[in-house]
Amino acid sequence: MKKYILLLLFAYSFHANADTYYLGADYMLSDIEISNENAKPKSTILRAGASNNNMAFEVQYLIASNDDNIYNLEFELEKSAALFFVMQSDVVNGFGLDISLGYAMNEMTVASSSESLPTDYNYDGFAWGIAVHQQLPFIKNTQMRLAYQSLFKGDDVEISGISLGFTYHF
Amino acid sequence: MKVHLRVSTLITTSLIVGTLWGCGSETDSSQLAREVELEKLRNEGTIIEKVTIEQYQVRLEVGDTHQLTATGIDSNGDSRDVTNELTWQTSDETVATITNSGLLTAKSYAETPQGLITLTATTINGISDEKQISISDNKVSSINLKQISPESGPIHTCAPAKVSADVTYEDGYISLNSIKNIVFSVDQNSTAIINDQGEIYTSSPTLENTTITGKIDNTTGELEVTADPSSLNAISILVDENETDEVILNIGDRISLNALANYDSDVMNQAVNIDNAINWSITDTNFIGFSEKNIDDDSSDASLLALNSGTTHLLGSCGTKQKITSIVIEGDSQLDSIDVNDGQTDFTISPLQSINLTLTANYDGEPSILNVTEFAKWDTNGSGLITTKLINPGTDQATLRVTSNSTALGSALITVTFNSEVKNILINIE
Repeated sequence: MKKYILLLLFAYSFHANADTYYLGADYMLSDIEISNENAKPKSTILRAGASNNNMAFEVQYLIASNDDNIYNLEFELEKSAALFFVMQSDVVNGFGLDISLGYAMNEMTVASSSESLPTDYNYDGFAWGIAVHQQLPFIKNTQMRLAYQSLFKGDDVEISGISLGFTYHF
Repeated sequence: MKVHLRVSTLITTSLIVGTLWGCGSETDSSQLAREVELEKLRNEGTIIEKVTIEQYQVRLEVGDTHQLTATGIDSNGDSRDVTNELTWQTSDETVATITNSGLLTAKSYAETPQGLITLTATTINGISDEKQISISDNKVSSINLKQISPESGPIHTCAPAKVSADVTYEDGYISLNSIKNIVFSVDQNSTAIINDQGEIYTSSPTLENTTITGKIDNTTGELEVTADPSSLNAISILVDENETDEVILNIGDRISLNALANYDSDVMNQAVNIDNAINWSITDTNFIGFSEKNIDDDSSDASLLALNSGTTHLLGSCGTKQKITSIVIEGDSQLDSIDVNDGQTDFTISPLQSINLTLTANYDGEPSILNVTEFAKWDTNGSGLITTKLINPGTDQATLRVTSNSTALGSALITVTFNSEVKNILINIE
């Protein structure tokens, strides 16, 4: 089901009359919450999108930079792929606001001394984010971007993160 | 900043959210969540290494509920109540169910010997305890009353004490520390009173023996307790929760009364509430109305209502101790008249029906009206047609419920007297 949804969204995005394309890279402080405890592994995000009339479709790929522990359990957000529909505000004085809605597929690994505890976990589902960005005055077409993303919220696990990075518009 | 919210945007947004919201999937992470909780407990040193179910040796009947508790010993060697940290199970869900907080409900009678079913309580790390509880309608064969608080020796005059019973049934099962279905009573020569929870209160100034009787159907058990007043040091009176020697009131003010007792430090370190044991008396009842505490209602208090201006004294006594508080009532209002239900004198009810009568005192100043139902003397003049019961005493909603006690027809005359004012009320049963 999710493959068809992603395919539909991709198809729509490529058929859209995009007026600008962009690429971005962010550093994300992830937050994996489970049983009221938190692991905060770091990640790197690469983004690419096409926008038209204050709307954009954006693909995002996240790879782990490091892991973090909850007591003796080692958590890593190994990778995550997501597609977002982005609603963009007008840019005023170089400042803008984006709200993203989409679908994310997340892979998490857990290392522990317990042999019976599974190591690989997949969490796929609705994702959303909010970002503010500011045009950099000395680098043309480049914005600095601060964002919050909720990549998954399930029965036992919630994955979110705060990211800081750059976006370049072609 | 202007955010473009065009119709197409909204439609697209709604489609995306609506489509994606319900189509996620996730690896079952319950084991991982449990492992995190375990790691937390291990890290804190509070992981439970031994668990013990308590209050389990009880016989229940269908429809009864029973609160079980459990105590755990953690890896630090500390003991704590773990009732709400366990997974509770019964061996037969058709006989009894149990909640996560240990509340057991008997659903049907067990067909096992003595009606026994097994309870299991398991910690997050798999440590468990098993106990058996009985669900049966077998008859009681004997009652063995025993002192619970204090566990042994004399009870302390004025302070609350508690008794319960080990109840043996005809099939040999013994229900421990039970008060279920037991009707408690004390011998008439004693100052003691006892409520349906087995809590006993005494007030004698001398060493006093009291025989307590517990009865279920035709089976009885007896226990003699001795109340010793020697360790009682002092009592104090609290007016609206403040300790005081003098109270100044206006006519119409209502205050609550409580009493505390202090004992020798080797007996009790803290003052204890003796509301159920203390004896109250008032030197002149023309000025104030007094309401006793209801012994079966922990939330109730004794109370006073200021009725006429003047000075009187409230005396609280228990054991060998007493305490006097002066009560000064200010105000110029004088009692003018009394009325029942706004001036009615004739009432008609059907057989076996009830009517509430409220007596109000009318004053010539402020306050103009006071509910004095509970402070008046109500006389049914020997009528066998009706019974009366005071409802909501100690409150502004106090009322006298008059009930026709048979299908007989006729009239009953009630005479109500308050501060020398008299009213006659006719109750017609038609």
